[in-house]
Amino acid sequence: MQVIVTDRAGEVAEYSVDGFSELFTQLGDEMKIDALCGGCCSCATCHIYTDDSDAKYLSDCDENERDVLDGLLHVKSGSRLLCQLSTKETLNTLKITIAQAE
Amino acid sequence: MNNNAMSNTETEIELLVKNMLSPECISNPYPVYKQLRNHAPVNGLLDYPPGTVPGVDTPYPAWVVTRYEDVDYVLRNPEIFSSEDPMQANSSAPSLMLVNHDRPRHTALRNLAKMAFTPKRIHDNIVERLRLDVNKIVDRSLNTEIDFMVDVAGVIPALVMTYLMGLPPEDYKLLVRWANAFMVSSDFTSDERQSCNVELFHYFVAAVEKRYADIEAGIEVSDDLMTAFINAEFEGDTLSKEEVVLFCITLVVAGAETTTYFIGNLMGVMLEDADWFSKLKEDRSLIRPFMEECLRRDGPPQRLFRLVLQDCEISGQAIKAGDWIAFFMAAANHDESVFPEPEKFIIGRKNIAKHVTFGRGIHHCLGAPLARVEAEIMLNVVLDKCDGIKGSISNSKRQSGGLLAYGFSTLPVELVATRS
Repeated sequence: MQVIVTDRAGEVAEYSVDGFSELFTQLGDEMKIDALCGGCCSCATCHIYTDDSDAKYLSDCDENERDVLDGLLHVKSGSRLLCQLSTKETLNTLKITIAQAE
Repeated sequence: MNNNAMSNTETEIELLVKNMLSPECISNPYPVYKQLRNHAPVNGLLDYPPGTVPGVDTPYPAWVVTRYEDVDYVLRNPEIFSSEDPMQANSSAPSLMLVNHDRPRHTALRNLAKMAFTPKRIHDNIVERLRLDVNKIVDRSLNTEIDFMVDVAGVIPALVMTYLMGLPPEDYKLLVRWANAFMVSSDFTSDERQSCNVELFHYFVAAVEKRYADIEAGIEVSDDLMTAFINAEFEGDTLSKEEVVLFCITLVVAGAETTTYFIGNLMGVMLEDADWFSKLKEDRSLIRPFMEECLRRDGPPQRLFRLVLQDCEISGQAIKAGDWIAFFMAAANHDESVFPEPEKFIIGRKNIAKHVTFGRGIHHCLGAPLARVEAEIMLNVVLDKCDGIKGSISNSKRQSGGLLAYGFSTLPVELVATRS
């Protein structure tokens, strides 16, 4: 899967990954996200924006993720937590933007 | 790291660990951490988790973990390193909620508590109220020598605790005293410490009882964290009354003193280097990186404990199940392999987000956004109302009661008001 990531500085980079947890780790290593809680749906430092049109490919947002997202100041439709994301259908390419820090 | 290139003998290192609780080390632990980072973990620290009482409770010998990589490893592996605290459980101290829980109960409790600390809740319920109160606190502190720790830094976080739990604002003074005693900083006798633990417990038993009674009587109650804990339900599970009390206590001890020292340490940096006041006053976008570097270099919570559940290895040192670990976030924050020139105050470090003052992983500090908001409001209000600060860092004194917290016990300063 190719993921095109726009980071907080507006820079665009492409990642070739098997799944989102690999992307989460890479973005954490590159310090593009803080990944503070280690991926347990708690710190919201992996908050990303996805296109609404991509929602059908992505796993549903469960109640825990929704609760965290609803508490954010910069939440939009298409907001997701990268640490909770997986694919529902085969996806070749996805565009995401890393949300600004809260 | 080359373990063969030891610059200290084994006996010297053991002595170093034995002296960690000396007032000299507590008030300036960083040179000791530097020496310890040259070695794999050493066993033998006899120290006191929050709530326990020196002179009354018997400390368990702990492994001392100081390298960034090792502290990170402990933080990220809660299934190996348990947060349950047998020493605290055996003492007069009330057990802390969340902080001393492992999964799965930790997840349920965290889900209950975290809703009060979201950016939106803080923004909607705390920020404006706090800004008004901090304006009053600073106004009455202007143009006279004050002890910043008593008059400003000690007030703000405890006041926020009263908002969070719907307590009378004037009770903040009680919360400050009890938090100081619990966190084993400040000079209390062991009797005083134990009394404080008991008073703290009874205060919240009474406050929580009253809230339960008001709710049952249909009286309108404040929409705050105490009410939320009482009404909370997660997958059919509710908190017992005692758990509600312990949650309130946890908030006080976790959020009052640590943030007080953080706010004080920020003022300390400005006294250390007089240029900071004008730089920050002119460019408020520097405030956040200034705060983060202060959190790294002078982070108040120095170390926490874990109980080892499985045999493991840290930096090649075998650690057995049942062992007790003291891991030093503050030592990790000064690891020169991660933060070059760690003793220097350098803002804009590219990897500043890697500091571990607020922890990492499942126990990462729930109150971190709140602590940052409190500090940011204090800085902006002082910068708005003042032309400068007068004072000398040499007149300050750091607390030396215990190794948990790095912060000032006294910080004389004059906030010089802008001439209108």
